[in-house]
Amino acid sequence: MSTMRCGRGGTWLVHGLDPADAALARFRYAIAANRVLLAGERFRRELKAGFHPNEPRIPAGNPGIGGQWTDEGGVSARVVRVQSRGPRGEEPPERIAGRLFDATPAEEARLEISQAQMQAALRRVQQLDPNWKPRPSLYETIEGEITANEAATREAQDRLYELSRVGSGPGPFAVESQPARGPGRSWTAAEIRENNRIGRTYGCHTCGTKDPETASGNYVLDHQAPIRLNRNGLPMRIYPHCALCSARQGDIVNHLADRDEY
Amino acid sequence: MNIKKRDYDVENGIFFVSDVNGGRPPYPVTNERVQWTSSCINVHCMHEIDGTVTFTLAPFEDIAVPCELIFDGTVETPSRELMISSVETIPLLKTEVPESVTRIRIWTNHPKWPDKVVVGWG
Repeated sequence: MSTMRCGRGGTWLVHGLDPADAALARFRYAIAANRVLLAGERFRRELKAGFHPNEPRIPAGNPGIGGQWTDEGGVSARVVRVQSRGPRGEEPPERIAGRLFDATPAEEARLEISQAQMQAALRRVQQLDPNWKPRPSLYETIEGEITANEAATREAQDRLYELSRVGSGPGPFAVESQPARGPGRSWTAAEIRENNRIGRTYGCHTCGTKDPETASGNYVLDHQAPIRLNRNGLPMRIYPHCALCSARQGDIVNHLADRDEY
Repeated sequence: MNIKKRDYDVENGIFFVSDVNGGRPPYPVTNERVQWTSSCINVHCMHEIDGTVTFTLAPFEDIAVPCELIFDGTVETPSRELMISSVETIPLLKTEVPESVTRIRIWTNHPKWPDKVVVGWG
């Protein structure tokens, strides 16, 4: 289990069982490894060529000036950074809003990371709120796209935090949980006992109260993700819930789930 | 007599009365026993962890009023079919109604954890 900081300064728990987390961690590792390789390659090229590859050149094929060093804004021909070209100069530039932009390897890496983080955050939110989307944004540069991706990630994290506060997703008081045998709700005595033990120790996973507010005094056994929203059949865990948070969760699930499905 | 009954373990301890095609549930849920919008009524009842709830759905004139009245109002029924449903939107009980807006009265046998709920329409 690890802890993730959310956009509003709070924290919630992210469980290592989530395949999206594992995939993101693997992706980050691959990105970091590639950055090291890229830095090495840049250094090798500088040693070999005796110039700094960030210095812009006019591409070959421009009669009379092709291949010359230039200021980026000083000529009308499209400028290609040497280090962003492939071995034969055939790497396509980034297309944003119909215009072509050349990205440095650092920009490409940051763009990839921001896209991966945004997609992972979106996946997590859409497991709970399938119709949620971040606000659309406009951008005209690669930096703009990176900033837009980061903003969408923050927005998704905020939404995740909101959902966790109403019982969709492990709440801010979630510490311990037990594995669910499946989506069924026929509990064994041992499961109820364990859920009560966790509830009496840490409180309701959503609001933290140590009064379950049920007739029997048992905490409600709450599936996370909620059964009706767990369309991908991800492994579920059981957390203690108080009766009011359980009812609130029922209401939000009704809001979030596609009511056309029945 | 058009009385329909069903026993059910109510997940989340909350049920909804609405048109059979659904409605807009009240939001957010509070401690109030009943909350409603023009198209959906939600009612707290005994949670499944505590046992089974008996639901009754019937025309008002067929009901021998059993316990405390907690709601008297209307709900939109554009399809002219009324349902009691759970969070998982399992229709617990359904009935046809004559109007596109139906008067609903709800009685329960406990202020916090009722295990008997009667919904009268018309």
